[in-house]
Amino acid sequence: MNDFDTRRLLCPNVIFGITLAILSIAFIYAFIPAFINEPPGLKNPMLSPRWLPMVMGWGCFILSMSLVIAEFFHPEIAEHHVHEKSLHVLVLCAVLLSYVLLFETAGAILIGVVATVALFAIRSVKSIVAYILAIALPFVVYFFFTTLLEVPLPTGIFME
Amino acid sequence: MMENFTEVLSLFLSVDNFIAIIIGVVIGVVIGAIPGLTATMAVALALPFTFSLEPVTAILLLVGIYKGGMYGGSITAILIKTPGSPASACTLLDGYPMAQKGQATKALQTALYSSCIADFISNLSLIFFASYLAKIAMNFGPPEFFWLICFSLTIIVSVSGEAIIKGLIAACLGIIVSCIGLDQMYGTERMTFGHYDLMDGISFVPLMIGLFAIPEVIDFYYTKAQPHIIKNVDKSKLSLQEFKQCLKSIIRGSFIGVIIGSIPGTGATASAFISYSEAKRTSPRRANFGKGEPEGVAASEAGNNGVAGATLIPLLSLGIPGDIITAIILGAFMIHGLTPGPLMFQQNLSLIYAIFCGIMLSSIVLFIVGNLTIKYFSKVSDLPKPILLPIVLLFCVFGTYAVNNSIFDIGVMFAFGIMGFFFAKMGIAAAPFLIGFILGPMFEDNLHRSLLISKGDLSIFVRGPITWFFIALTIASLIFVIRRWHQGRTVNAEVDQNLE
Repeated sequence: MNDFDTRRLLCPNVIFGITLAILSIAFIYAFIPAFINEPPGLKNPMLSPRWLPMVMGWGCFILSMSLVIAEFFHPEIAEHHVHEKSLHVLVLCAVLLSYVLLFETAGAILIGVVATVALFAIRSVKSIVAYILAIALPFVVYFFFTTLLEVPLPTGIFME
Repeated sequence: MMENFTEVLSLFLSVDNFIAIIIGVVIGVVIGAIPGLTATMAVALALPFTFSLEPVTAILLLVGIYKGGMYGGSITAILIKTPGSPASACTLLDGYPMAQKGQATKALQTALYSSCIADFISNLSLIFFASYLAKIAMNFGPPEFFWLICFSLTIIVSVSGEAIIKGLIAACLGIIVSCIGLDQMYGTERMTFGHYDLMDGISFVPLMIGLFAIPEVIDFYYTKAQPHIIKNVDKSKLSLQEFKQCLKSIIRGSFIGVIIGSIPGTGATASAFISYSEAKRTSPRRANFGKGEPEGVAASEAGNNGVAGATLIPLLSLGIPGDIITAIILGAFMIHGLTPGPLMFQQNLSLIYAIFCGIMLSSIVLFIVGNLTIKYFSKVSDLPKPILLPIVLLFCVFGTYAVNNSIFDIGVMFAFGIMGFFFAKMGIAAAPFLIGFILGPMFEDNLHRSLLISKGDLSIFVRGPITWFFIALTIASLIFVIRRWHQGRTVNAEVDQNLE
């Protein structure tokens, strides 16, 4: 295999296509039988709860193989992505995780303020007004939801 | 006759009605413009406030919120790539690129004008053709719906851009995700892993926000920081020439919306995407679609808002609510001792015409309120991204949590956000995923119901002129997209050869 073919094999579309094809087969033969129950005495297979996921699984398999084949005939030009420092990504991950893990325990307002300030800080926002906004906005949004719309949001440490 | 006319005027010409419409539209626009909050939620929240109001005032308040909410959903779709409703997900395909080019005002104006025109056409259809359209809707059974959904699914190809295979993969994945939860027919669990939160399936709000808004946030922190360049923001407004170019798509989209809206259970999403797809197919500027073409925004919004008045057709004439919002409005009618349906036209004709007058007025109010708010909303797009995106994230989290008061939904939103980011990096359009997710359950439900009615006989799918009409449309649409795709590839190959 020459360099050209090796490059095509390693291009994102081919990797994606092959991975998806493997996952599709796993989905059809392992996932569907394990996680989709079929009612007993089913007369028409098209009425089965497994039918549509099965068809879509095969659809994914055929399309992913088509993607791999198409790549060999009409290769896409890979775009060069410039990545940011891993610190920024790490902080973003921490913010997303804290929204999921601490939103109810710490409260919507506190986690909102901390997350917004952290995201401002890592992108070097210097405006004082922006930081005042970061602190005030979660309060405003919280009271808009809870008071005007009567939609409860977690109070967390600000519990009455 | 004269007596009826006087009665209609006495019911309609009340200060309370005017105030209800104005408040309703304003609330609708504001709530629709908040990520996570939908027109449905706003109408549901407002229902208890209507108990003490007069019947006409109560209905007009809810209709005003509904119409304002539908337009409000497009504001966030255009400005921050966060659709307020699944239907406005189509608006962001061209609206957001326009905002990125500094044409936020123009995009918002296009959305507003096309929304108001479509709304007006839809209202006229409601007033003049309600009984006729209701008769057509009555002929829609599960097989007819099935083919309508099949036709709607063909639009996946046109919203996939150049990468059709990837778009189809996304649609298949969307349909698979839509299968999560309890099976609609047998109630058996599908891919729930015994998790209580998955029994009801994946909610569309966290999925939609995750798919469109969160990838923008992730991408901003993932890619290398660019020096802050103040771009030449184009503050120009929509010119008459541009408006004329969009008009054909607006009118066509409005009628698509009217027809789809009058059929209960189809919804604005299919209408918006069909209208967009048709505009893309016929427009001389089709190459600009997806890159910030005002006609794309106009077509989508016309399809979306063309549904608004028409959904009231099956409600008022047959007593059948077409979607959740009209079901809530039906509830409001019943609370006030009124039962929509054929009898209502005999017993409460004056009241119905008073509501019609209010509905027409609501389009004008929407136009005025929308115009007044555009200049303030468009300032959002001028905010620097380091400030804007964390705020967007905050709204997304609060809004998503508010839907079901569930932290699980926030996790779902981030999971789909990561998937959306991966899609963007792989050049996979997210819109086909959303279309698959929304249309998948409708496809399966109507397939199952057809098979149950016919006891497994497949000839039910070709039982009448409506099914044949949609089969022909589906085939024609497929042939057209395959031809266009083939032509595109031939042109690309020629360009490549010339370059070599």
